[in-house]
Amino acid sequence: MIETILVPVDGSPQAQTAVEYTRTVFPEANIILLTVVDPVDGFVGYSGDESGNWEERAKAEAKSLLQDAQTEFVAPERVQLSVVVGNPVDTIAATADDMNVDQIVMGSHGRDGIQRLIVGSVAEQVMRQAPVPVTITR
Amino acid sequence: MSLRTIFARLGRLIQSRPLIMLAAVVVVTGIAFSGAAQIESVTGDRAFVGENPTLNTYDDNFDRGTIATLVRGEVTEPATMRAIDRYDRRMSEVDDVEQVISPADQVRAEYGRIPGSQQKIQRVVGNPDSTVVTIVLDPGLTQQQSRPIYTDAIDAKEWVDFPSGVSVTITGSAAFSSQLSGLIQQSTQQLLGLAVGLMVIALFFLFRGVRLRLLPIVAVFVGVIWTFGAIGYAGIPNSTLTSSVFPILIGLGIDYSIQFHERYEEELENHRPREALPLALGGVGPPVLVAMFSAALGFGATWVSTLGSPAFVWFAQTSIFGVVLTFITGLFVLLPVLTLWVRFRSTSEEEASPSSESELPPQEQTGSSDVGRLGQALGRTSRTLAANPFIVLSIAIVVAAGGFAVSSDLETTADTEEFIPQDLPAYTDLQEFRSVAGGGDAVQYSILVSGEQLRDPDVLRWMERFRVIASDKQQITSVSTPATLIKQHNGGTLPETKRGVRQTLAAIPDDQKARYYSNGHAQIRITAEQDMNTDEELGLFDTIEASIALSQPPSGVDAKLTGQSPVSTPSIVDQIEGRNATTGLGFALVFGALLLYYRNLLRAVAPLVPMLFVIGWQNLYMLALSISVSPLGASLGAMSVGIGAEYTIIVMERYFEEVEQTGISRLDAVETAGSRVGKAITVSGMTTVFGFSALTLSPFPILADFGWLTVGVIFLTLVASLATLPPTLIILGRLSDKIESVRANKTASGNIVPSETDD
Repeated sequence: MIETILVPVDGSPQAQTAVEYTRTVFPEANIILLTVVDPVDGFVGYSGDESGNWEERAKAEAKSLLQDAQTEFVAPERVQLSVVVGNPVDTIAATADDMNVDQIVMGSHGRDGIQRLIVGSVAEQVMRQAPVPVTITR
Repeated sequence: MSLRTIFARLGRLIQSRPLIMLAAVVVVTGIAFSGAAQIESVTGDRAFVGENPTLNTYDDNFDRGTIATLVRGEVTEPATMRAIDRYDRRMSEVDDVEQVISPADQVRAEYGRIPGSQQKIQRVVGNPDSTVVTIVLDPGLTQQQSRPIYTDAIDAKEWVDFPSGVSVTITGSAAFSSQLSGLIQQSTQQLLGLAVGLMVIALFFLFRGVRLRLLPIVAVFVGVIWTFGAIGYAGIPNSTLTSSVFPILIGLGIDYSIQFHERYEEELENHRPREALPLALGGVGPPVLVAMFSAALGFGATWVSTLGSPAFVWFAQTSIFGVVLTFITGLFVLLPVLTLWVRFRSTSEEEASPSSESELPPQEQTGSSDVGRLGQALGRTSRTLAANPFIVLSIAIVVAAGGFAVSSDLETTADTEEFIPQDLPAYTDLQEFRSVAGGGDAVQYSILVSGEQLRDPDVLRWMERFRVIASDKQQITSVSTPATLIKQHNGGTLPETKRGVRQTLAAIPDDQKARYYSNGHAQIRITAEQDMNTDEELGLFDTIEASIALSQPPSGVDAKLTGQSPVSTPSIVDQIEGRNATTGLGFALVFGALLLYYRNLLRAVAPLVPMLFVIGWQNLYMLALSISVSPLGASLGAMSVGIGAEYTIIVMERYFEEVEQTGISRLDAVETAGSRVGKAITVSGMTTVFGFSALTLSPFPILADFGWLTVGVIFLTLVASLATLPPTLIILGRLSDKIESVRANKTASGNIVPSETDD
């Protein structure tokens, strides 16, 4: 029985697909929506080039992104929001472990070419590190 | 890619590869040591004289550096005269020595040897109680080339073994330059050591509660070694002015390291090291880079406005290398070591308590960390001052205006002899020599005469005319020209014809002729009174120029006053008098850079307003402490703009970081900026003050004065940054709101944009 699902959200269309998939397939589950703010690159939905306190702005943008995603669920009260600054792969895996989730549902960014050869995709790395099953949506 | 991203990436790189970074630092440091070994030193007037064709011609033809050996006692005693003769012959064999002129030459010429009878010797040289052996060097030797000859002279003096009761003093430009060069090197090392020592004390007491709090010293010290290497490879010599850069660099460079260190510590309060370093560097890297760039531009202004005066240019170039390299070592020495230390500590902590929760990523946390009492006090003070912007700024403006008003009353020091320690043995020897011999290099001036017919009777008559006119002037004690020499050998009159001149010259010994004629040029030598001050010396130069014009040189004859002193003194005076232009250029360059970076007028202007106050205040400080304006002090304005901009940029950046968060008033932002970065800039400012204070103990009066000046100016800069920047930001913010609301009114026909409130 799948009770808790972790859905990493970064503002990309692929992440949006993962949110829609989770909403449709697991309407009864508790959801944790997580945005990881990479200290260097932020996340897809935040370029980070504006002036001001970068971290605060990134967190605020992430929160707003998660709040938007939360409204898409039938029972928003069962959706928990989390913003963490850190390495995306490590943080997703650690959060899954820490929050005892049953599954991770995430979109694949589909890095391609040299970038994929060098770093691999975040989804691929999460699959290797995560202690629970991972569903990749396309 | 934004600057923030670049610095954050750099932070991640340092975090992941600290050992490789440190290995690279070790390699570069090794390379720097090899560069540092190539540094030469240049002293005296030579350091203040740039490329000058007339001077070069004069140097190549007439400026035979001399080493004067003053022998006092029973000089006509046969034993003494034999010693002089031995000394003469030994020095004649030394490389780069053109000739040695001594009384032994005359005695030997008379008797073919040095006789054993004192009467015979006295018959030739009289019965003086002192004599001078002049070692004439080859023309065009550099200071580096002539210094070993001084060492040879010292050795020769020991080898000759003058009889007891005879005192021998070796002096002259080479001797002077050699001792001064040694002192500069010694003083550079002592000042560096002292600056480091003082900073260790400052950091130990001021940077409490921070891990590895002395690490910034190590980072900046590596930066100083790199700077030595860079100037060695770039061929920039060490001079009196350049030697002052190193304590300044330690003071400045430590700022960069402290900013990196402090911010890393701050981020570590809320994040794991892996995230903390990219965040810290992404946050503080850009403002510190802009600040470093501003400091470099401040020195750049000194460079541009002092072109033609090498000592200033070397000072500026060394400073630019220094600020850039200490910034780089702040990144690549301090941060990797700190990373390794944090890694080591967290590993030991994990081993000590395996059940700790350090593996868990920290969730969102608020910035409620402890900023310390100093931080809180600074924050509250900033808030209070910012709440009364008009009163604070009015006081600052009135005091600054007073400072600008007294600017012209400040004393100036342009005489290079006043820059050096007055009790330096070489200097006292030189003074003693001048008083005994009745003159020395410093009071002799030369006119280089160029043309085709310099032995023509008409030209000789002009020279005689000039001698009569110039000799009549105050300050000038004697004038000797080629015409004087020819008259002496022609029964007191000038030959009427070219043939007569040729015949007379043929009878004159070559060494005497060489003093006046060389390679198609002639020299007129002017001896003037000693102990002239700078104004009197400048007046004398004008008098000489006027006398040349009045004597009407024949057509085709060009006469120019030249030599180290006539070229360097006006150049130094120009630097001092043009100090406001240098400062203005510093302001303009830093403003331009800030405008380019921020693309926002408010942000480009705000950091410079407190600096404007400091420029005014520093004049009052100088007046109060009776500090005169030296060439170094003249460059201080541009330098203060560069250095001070660092403090103000860091405070301003933090202010805007805060003010741009929604729901935070300007006064809250001022308080947070004051409490958060106020401590860091106070620690770095006070550490800089400690570093600069080492200069006050320099044996060189010019450096000691500069030390007092910089200590005061940095302190004032710190005060201005913390006290006048917050009110400036508030007023400029209000002004900006008004402008925006007027613009909005115009475009949206009366639709008023709501502005942020101050409280």
